Amino acid sequence: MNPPQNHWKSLVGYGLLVLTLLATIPLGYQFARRQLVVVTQTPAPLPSPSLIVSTSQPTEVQPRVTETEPASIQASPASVDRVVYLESDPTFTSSTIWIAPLVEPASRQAVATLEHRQGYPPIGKISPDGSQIALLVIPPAATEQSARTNGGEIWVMGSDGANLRKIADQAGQLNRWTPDGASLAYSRLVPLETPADPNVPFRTEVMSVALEGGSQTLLYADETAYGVQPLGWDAGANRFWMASVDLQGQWQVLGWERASGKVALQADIPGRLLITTFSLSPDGSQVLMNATEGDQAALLLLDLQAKQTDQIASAPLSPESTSPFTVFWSGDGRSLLVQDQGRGGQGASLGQFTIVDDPPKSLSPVADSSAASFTPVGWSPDQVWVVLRDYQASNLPLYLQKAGDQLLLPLPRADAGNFVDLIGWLGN
Amino acid sequence: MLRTANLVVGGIAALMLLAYLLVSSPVQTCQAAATCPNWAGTGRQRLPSELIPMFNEAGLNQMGGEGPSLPQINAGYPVTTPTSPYVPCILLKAVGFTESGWKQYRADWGQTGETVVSFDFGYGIMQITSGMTTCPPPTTFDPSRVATSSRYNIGTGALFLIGKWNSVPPYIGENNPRIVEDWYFATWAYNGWGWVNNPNNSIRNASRPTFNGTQPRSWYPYQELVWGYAANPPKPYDGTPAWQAVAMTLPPRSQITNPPPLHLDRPTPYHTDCYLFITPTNPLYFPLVVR
Repeated sequence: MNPPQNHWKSLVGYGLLVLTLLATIPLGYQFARRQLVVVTQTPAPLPSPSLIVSTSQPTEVQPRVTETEPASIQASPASVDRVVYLESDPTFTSSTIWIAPLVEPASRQAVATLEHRQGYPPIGKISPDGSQIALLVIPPAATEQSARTNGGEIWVMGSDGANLRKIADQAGQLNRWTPDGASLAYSRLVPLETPADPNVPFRTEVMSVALEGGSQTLLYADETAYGVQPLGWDAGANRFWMASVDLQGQWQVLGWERASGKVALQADIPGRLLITTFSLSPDGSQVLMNATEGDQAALLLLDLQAKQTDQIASAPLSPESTSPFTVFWSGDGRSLLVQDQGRGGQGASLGQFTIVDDPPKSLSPVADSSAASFTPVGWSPDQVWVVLRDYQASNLPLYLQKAGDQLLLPLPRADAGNFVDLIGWLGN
Repeated sequence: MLRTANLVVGGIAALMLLAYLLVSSPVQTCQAAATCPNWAGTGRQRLPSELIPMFNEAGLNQMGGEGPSLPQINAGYPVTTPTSPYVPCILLKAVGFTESGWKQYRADWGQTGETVVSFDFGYGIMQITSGMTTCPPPTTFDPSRVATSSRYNIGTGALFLIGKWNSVPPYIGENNPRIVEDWYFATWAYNGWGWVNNPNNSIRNASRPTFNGTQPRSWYPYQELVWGYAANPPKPYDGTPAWQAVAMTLPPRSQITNPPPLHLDRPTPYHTDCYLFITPTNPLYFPLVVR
């Protein structure tokens, strides 16, 4: 017989064993679950505004020392001689950036090829002096949501393709270079865990990133507006303009001021309009808007200093249709290229509209674009070339057309099924 | 002898207890190291012909234990009534293709590979992100099965779509989940509600033609991609269309205000899917249906 003391010990021992075995059941479950676990990763959180900027209040951001005053402002090229565009392969997963002489586009040269998420070719912006090309690239592994919000990367290279490097990530939309080409603005949407209003599930952040050093400045953060559309810098890069629409559908233009780091209301846009395009003038003093309200479409021009909005064209609109206007600024900001798709059997018209005259007057057509399926996608800063897209052709080709010329010159493609898109212009 | 045995047993127990304590403390928990598990596994990429029944079963809530439990779906406008779970099969298929091209694994069709996981932790065919990195894990679905089961992943997509249908305020027509066009706002919200997918957002191409799978996706709000794929079924394998084309109708862009109105008329023509209607005497509540 065992002494009572031994009974107690064995009971404790067996008890411990049973407890241990019981306790190891969840451990075994954990191990079983670990068969699924390949690696442990921490979701890369978006840096909060306070991590990016030196001050905590987004509307009181002080300019960083790297954000120097623009020293020399380069104007758009007086005359252009090359066009920059991209060509995506038929799978839409890889795009090549091409530079083509306008006199002979077939002798184009590739400067870079980039892989990206399917269906998201890079968005490009050429620096004002033409020396750099910035590209918003959506990486192949981005989700459909992050591709639309904050999953992009900003890459910069010389216009000859040299020194391609990434200067920012977690970007959503590429905006404008500063006039001196020292930095460029971008925006992104950051999901909110507990939105104050269900219609605003994202915080909009507008950022500026320096070309050298990559330091970033938060210009604006907003969790209450229904939507925020960055517009661009004024001529001296002292202010950055943004359009904002509130939950009642009212638009206004806000300005971030470099000197104070604060954001202030600049102008209200009258009415509760659906504004489908915004375009800031090259000198940053006027905003061109394609707006609809009810059964009317209109082109509106907002003077940011006078805080006055003028209607420069209008057209009736059926409920099923969209605005018939497509419009671009000239490089000197004195004229607009306006296409009116026409209605009631009228063909489309494409004309130059001089806005500095009083009253403004429409000039003779820039190019023959009577077919409504041809829509301009770009106008060279020297007003000599128009790029038109045939939206009814299955492969959406782009054509170059010289002002006053009838000839449509297709932008070359390696394969007829490839997609092409305009990035910009290079010249003297 | 017994005393020795008792000591051995006690020692083993103590060692096991010590081992448990040592092993259990660093087990992956989100709280422990502010990390969350990556649920990715390996598996065979199902052929489209194998996936199609899964989409249909998920839409019709016929997954049994092979999918998450689907909640009731609200139907009717202005008064809503909870009804049995349902998602139009064409919508699930088109959303799945928009998200991942129907790929659960990084592998060719029929081959084995690792789970498709985006860098921001979207998993599998329906690119499930919500709940995949939260701690503790969600109670409405099992993240590990989202990562390793195509069927479960599709079912979780149905779960999220129903969640969006039930929670996003605007309604279309009579708010009938059997009408595909009525899912416009829920589909929008599946990707991201608000300005990001408003069809009048100025970052989208205002001149865009109807999406047919050949244009840049960045020109379009998410829901127009889904509508476009539904009408232009891709041929992911063997040259066979993945589904029969359904030319769903979009509401007029001009009616989608900032933010959208609480109710829009149903655009016509409208479409049903998975079910065939027979003489709906009361079109509100799909009275007699035949599969």
